[in-house]
Formats: sequence, structure tokens, C-alpha cells
Amino acid sequence: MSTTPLITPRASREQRAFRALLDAMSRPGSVHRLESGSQPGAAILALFEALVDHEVSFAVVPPAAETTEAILRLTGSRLAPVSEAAYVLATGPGIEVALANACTGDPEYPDRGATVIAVVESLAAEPGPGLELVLQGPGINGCCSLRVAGLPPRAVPLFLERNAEVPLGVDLVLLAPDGRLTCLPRYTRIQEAN
Amino acid sequence: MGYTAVRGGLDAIQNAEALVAAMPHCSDNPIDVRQVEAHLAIAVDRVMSEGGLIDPGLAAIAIKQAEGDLIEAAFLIRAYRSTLPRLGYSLPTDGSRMVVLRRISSIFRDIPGGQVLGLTRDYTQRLLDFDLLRSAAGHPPGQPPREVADPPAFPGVIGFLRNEGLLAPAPPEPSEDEPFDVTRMPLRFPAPRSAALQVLARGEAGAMLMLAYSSMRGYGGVGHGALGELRYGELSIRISHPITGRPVAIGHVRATEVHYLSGGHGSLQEGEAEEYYLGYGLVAGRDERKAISMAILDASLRYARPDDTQPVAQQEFVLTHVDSIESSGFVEHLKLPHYVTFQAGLQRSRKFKEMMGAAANG
Amino acid sequence: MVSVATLSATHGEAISGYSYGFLDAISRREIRRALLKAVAIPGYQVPFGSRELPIARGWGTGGLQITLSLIGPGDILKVIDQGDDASVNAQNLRRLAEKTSGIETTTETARATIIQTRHRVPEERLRSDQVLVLQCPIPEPLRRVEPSTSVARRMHAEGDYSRMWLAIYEDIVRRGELGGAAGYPVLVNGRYIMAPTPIPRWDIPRLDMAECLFLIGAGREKRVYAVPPYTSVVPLEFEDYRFEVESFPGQRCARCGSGDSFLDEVNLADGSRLFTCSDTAFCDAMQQNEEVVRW
Repeated sequence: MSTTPLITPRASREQRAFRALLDAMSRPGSVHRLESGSQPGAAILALFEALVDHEVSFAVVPPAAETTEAILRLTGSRLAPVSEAAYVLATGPGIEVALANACTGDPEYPDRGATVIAVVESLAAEPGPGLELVLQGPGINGCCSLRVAGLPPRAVPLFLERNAEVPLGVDLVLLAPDGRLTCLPRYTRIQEAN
Repeated sequence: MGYTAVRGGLDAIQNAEALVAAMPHCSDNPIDVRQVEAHLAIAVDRVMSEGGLIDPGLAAIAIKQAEGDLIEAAFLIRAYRSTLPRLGYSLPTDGSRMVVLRRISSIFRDIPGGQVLGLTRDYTQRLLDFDLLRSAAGHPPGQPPREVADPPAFPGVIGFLRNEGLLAPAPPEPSEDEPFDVTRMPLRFPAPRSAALQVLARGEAGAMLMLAYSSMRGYGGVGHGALGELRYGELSIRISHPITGRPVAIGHVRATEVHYLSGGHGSLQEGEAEEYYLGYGLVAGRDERKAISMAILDASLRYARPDDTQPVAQQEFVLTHVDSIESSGFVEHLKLPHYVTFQAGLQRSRKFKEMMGAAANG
Repeated sequence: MVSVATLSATHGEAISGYSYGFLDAISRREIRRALLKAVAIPGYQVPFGSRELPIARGWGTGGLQITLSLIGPGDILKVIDQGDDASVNAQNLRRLAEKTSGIETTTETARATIIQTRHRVPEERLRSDQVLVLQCPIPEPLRRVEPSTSVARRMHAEGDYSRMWLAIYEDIVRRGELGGAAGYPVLVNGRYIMAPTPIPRWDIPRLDMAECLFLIGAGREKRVYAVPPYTSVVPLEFEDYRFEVESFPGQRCARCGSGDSFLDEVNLADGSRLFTCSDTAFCDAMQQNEEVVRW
């Protein structure tokens, strides 16, 4: 190799998105920012671009033709039922459906448990709008606080229920339209404050 | 504090690289890659087979670069293969449609299409040919082969036994829609047959020979059976045309294919079964030894008795240990510094020795 | 004859050119997905489609694949082997990363964002913005009692570690103390027994409730696993037979004088023996009286 390869714009985006996800997954409740365009859905596509391709499947719940098309075109991935997909994109009440049905893996391969990407209205580590969640578990020093607006009421109980038999479980990514994200991997213990 | 730590690791590597790079040029008569390709063709075939990439020109470069170390050459090919884009998958190829250059069967005296001995050393007398000391001028290749009008058909010999219902049914195996690709997914056990065959096709010839030999000598597996058929020739590679979807031939590769039979009452190792267990071997290039070994291992992994604990009957054992890049990498990694781990162990050994000494003394 | 080389060339990807970071996009994405799951399930070995690299299997391809999947233009990479940046293999791995990405490299632990290591954890405490990537020869901690990976996988699935505990107990019976030297098995997040890679016992306590992320890669065995920050990592021990780290009674480093680091033994020609810090960057910093934050 005579010249050092340059990183392409897409590879660079994917790398930064991945590092944001890795940091968020390692430190649940910590809020990170994806650099994505300001168009609606840009944050979702930035995430899918980094994670998904023809080697894995995804689901969209509730079904949304435009988003699905965009993801298919961008990633070459394929649709699968919610209960089988590796990555489940969920919005609004679909978040409860996703958490209730996504695959939790099997005892010898708990990594087959799905990743649910729930689109919420806003996310913050400091006080702000929405529900306050108190989090504990691996990656968290003692406990930490997270504010989420736009999670349906049964989301947290369903998350805890489906993850009651860790290591089987579902990992949750919360994504706001402004590109803020946080992760709640399956071992995270969540309490709703007040 | 007079001790200075040893430095110069990078210099050492760069000097070593310079030495290695000089080796292919270190005589006044360096070998040409075209010579490697033309006259060390079996070595070239082995490197393509274990490297998992069929390109004789690249294999010849690798052999020259590796000073004839065929496992190192296969490693070069594998690393190169990792960088190549996956363009697509071929359609399944039917071995019985091979353009046959050599074809024999040991289970019948005569077979449709005939026994075609072809190019083989099997019946030559192994006498060193000292004429080769003299570098004779090469002969230009002879006349191109003529097209034979009405070439004979070479129907697969196993077909006869299959039609009579004498072959044992396939054992229960994980079902598959698509072939498993071991270069993209890690093996899980029990592995589907396509994964097992792929690993064996790329497997290290010596490792497979040793396992097959052990089975023939009674150490488990299906043992000493019979060669249903061995053929060597050209297989056409066909893909689905990206636009019309129709099959189109894009080239051919040379391969050796073996059907091996065990069980039944025709082999030297009588099994309890009335039916024949079929083992299949398919190897890139001209490597009959490995294709036969592969077929013995395939049959052993599928049809060994459930209580057979010998290595050759253990799928995980066989498939894990026949890969030359992995086995040589790990065995040779012992050359890496291990002084920290050794230090940690040395401490304990000394402590234990002290303890034993103290116990003995009183 | 048309060769694969010609076919690929016309497909748009130059033969002599390589992707940034050597790995192609699909391989990188697969490793990244595996790493995210590894972090979500601390101590659990995630299988991945490990690719062949220009470095031999068994020589760090797992750690390297992790590093190459992490790095971007903003990163600074440090590579050590046995704690030494200048070790031949560390140099070689660093060179490959540099050649394929132009990444900035360093020997200073505090400056690095990613540290790839074989068999040591740096003496300097790692921060929350740092990732330690450990090279691993044998990711399966149960290999000692069970050679088959499929049986071991079932044992992990059921949390049935009785045979492992029995083996450790037998060590005590034989020697009056816990056995094992480097690579002592640990229990992670109270659930999975994990192979910490052949680091000395000295380094094991550093994995517990750390600020940094630990990622472990086994290329030949095709597994990655992780210990997130603030995760419990406890060596297997009994109440009356506790885990102990190595000691170097009366010894100090012959170069920097440290009495509180893991030491390498050096046997001299005259039959005498001296000790030096295994972590050369730490040793250099001590010699220059720099401030070093410890674990």
C-alpha cells in the first residue's frame, strides 16, 4: 500500500454513530448526539446506516412505508416480523408492541435478543420535560437519572418484564429526532421517579 | 541502576522484512512465477485450495514469496481474499457433468465411459530421475487438444447404487436453505453439512490425511471402505445473469471429486449396516489424496456410530483442527513473548517448590 | 484466462487500494453489532465472523479487528505487548493500523483514546474516555474442564459452573492455596465466568468497577466479549481461600525504582537477576518524575 486510504464520508458517519452507540451502551442513561441532518427521520437513517445491512433483518412498528423504503434502499437489509427481527424501529404505541414482541434470544445465544430503537420526543440527563427514570446496573456508577418525553406508559414495565430473565432479553436504544440518543441494555434496572 | 532495556523492535522487524524480501532474488537464477505455475502445479493447487481462492497466478506469486512454504502461501492468499468484494454466488454445479481428464472407479471393473487413467503417478515406479539435474530446454506445449466428436458420457457410478436403493439415507442434520459460509459466519456445532464440506474443502491436507488414515486403521469413523469413483477435470462455473436471470457460464475450475463408500459388505471393514454410507470429497485442483481424505471424513462425521468417541467422529474436533491458517497461527504464536505470563507462573512454581521443601524439612 | 483479480478491478474497488482500516464495511458493521451486544451482556462471548488479516491467527487478529472497527480520525492509538510498546509484535500491529488508516499513535498511556494490549493492563488508571482492547488466545474460561465449545456454551447458558468450582477446589487440595497464574477466571456481573485473557493476577482487580470500557477479541476462536465500566468483576475464590496478586518481596524496578508495579525478571550473564517494570511507558514516566494516576 503506497498511500494511506482515506476514510469515506459514509464510513466516517458510520464510525461516529457507532462510537456514540458504544459509549451509550457502555454507560446506560448517558446522552450522546448523532450528527445527522435536520430532515425528519435523518437520525433514524444515521443509526440504521451504521448498524444494518443485508446480513441482518429489521422491523418497523407500526409499519411505515416511507421509512421502510428509505431503510431498505440505504442498507440493502430485509424486513422480518417483529418477533424475529434483529433491529426493531418503534414509534409511539409501537414502542410497547416492539418491547412486548421482540426476540429475547435463547439461553446459548442471548446475543440474538433484539435491539429495539424507540423514537421518543426528547432525552436529557439533566432535569427537563418528560418522565424521570432512575437507572442502575452495569455501566452506571451507583445510579443515574434520565429524562424521557414520549415513552408510552407501559414501555418501562414491559422492558423490565421482557428482561426479567437476563441474560435473555432485549436491548433498548432511545432516539430523539434531534439525534440525541441513549441506551438501556437489558441488565439496566429502571425505576420511575415519583 | 546500570540496566538498559533492550530497544529496537521496529528496526528488527524492518531488517527481517528486508531479508525476507531479498529471498526470492537471492540467486543468479531466480525462479519465475510462470515457472512455479507451470511446473509446481500441484503446489499451486494446494495453495488455492487451502487459501480458498482459485487463481493460479496469485498462488504462484504466494509460493515464490513464501519460499515454498505452502501454508504460509495459503495464508497470503487468505489475507488477500479478505480484501476482495463478494460479487455473487454461483449456481450449484453437477459433478457428473465435469469435463473429465481422469476418472476411475475401484468398485466395478468396467463402467460406462470407461476407466480413464489420465495423468497419474499411481503406477509409476518411484525412481529419482537424475536427468532432471540437467536443465533441459522446455518443450513447447503440444498440439492443442482436439475436439472429440461425440465425447463419451461419464455418468456418476454412485447413481447405480442409488437407483437400487442401496445407499443409506442421509442422517438427520440441521436443515439449510442457503449454504453456510464459514468465511462470513462463525461455526456453531452441530454444524450443517455445507459448513462441514466447506471447512474440509479448505482444510489442511496433512491434517486431513492423518485423520483419514487413523479411521482406516480402526480408530473410529467409517474406516476402510471403497472408492466408488474419483474424477478430475473441469467444472463449469455458472451464475444467474443479473438481468435475464438465466444461467450463464463464466468460466471453469479444475477440481477433484471423490465418492467414497463404507459400510455394506463390499468393503474391507464390514459394518453392521446393509446399506452403504456415502462420503463426498471435492477439492480445487489436482489433489486426490485430500479429496479421498475429505470423503472419508465426511462419511465418518455423518455416519459414525453414536458411541464413537474417536476424534475422527467428532465434528467439533475435526472441523476446528483442520484449518491450516488457524492451526499454524496458534502453534506458531508460541514464538510471541510470553514473559509476563511466564513470570506469573514462575512465581507460583518457586513458591510451591519452597513450600514442598519446607514440608520435607520439617 | 479471466481471473478474479481482473473481475474485481472492473467492479470499482482497486486491487492495490484497501479500505480505511483494512476491513470492508460489511465486516466492520458485523463486528460493531457484535461489540454492542457484548457490552449489553457483560462477560458473555459473542460469536462473530472473524476475518483473516495480514497478521497470523493467534497473533492478535481479534484485538486488531476490534481496534480497526473502533478507530476514526480523532483517535489516538497505543499498542503494547507484555506491557511494552517496543515489543516486536506490538510494533507490527501498530504499523498495520497506521498504514491502513493514518491514525495517530502514541506510547503515552494518558494520551491514548484506544489502547490495544496483549497480556497486560497498563499501570496507569484508564479514564472514561479510554477503551482497552485486549487480545485473547482462548476466550473460553471453561476450556480447562471442557474442551468442547458446544458443551461449554451449554454450561454458560445454564450458569452451571460446578465443574469449574470443583477444579479450583482441587487446586486448593493439591497445593494448599488457589492455583492458576495468568488469566485467572473471573465472574462478571454476577453471571458469566469470563477469561480475562492471560493478564497476571496483578491486573485482575483493575477490571472491577473501572471507569473505562474493556473489549476483548479472540480472532481465531471468533468471539468478542466486554466488561462495561462500573461492572463487578470478581476472581473465583472461596471465603477461606482468597485470591491474591503476585508479589515481588524486596524488589524494585532497576530502572525507575518503583516497588508498586508488575515486574519482569531479567537474568544476567553473571547469574544475577534483576527486575524492571513490565509497563515500559509507566517506567519511563516514573523515571521522568511525571505524575501518574494509579488504579
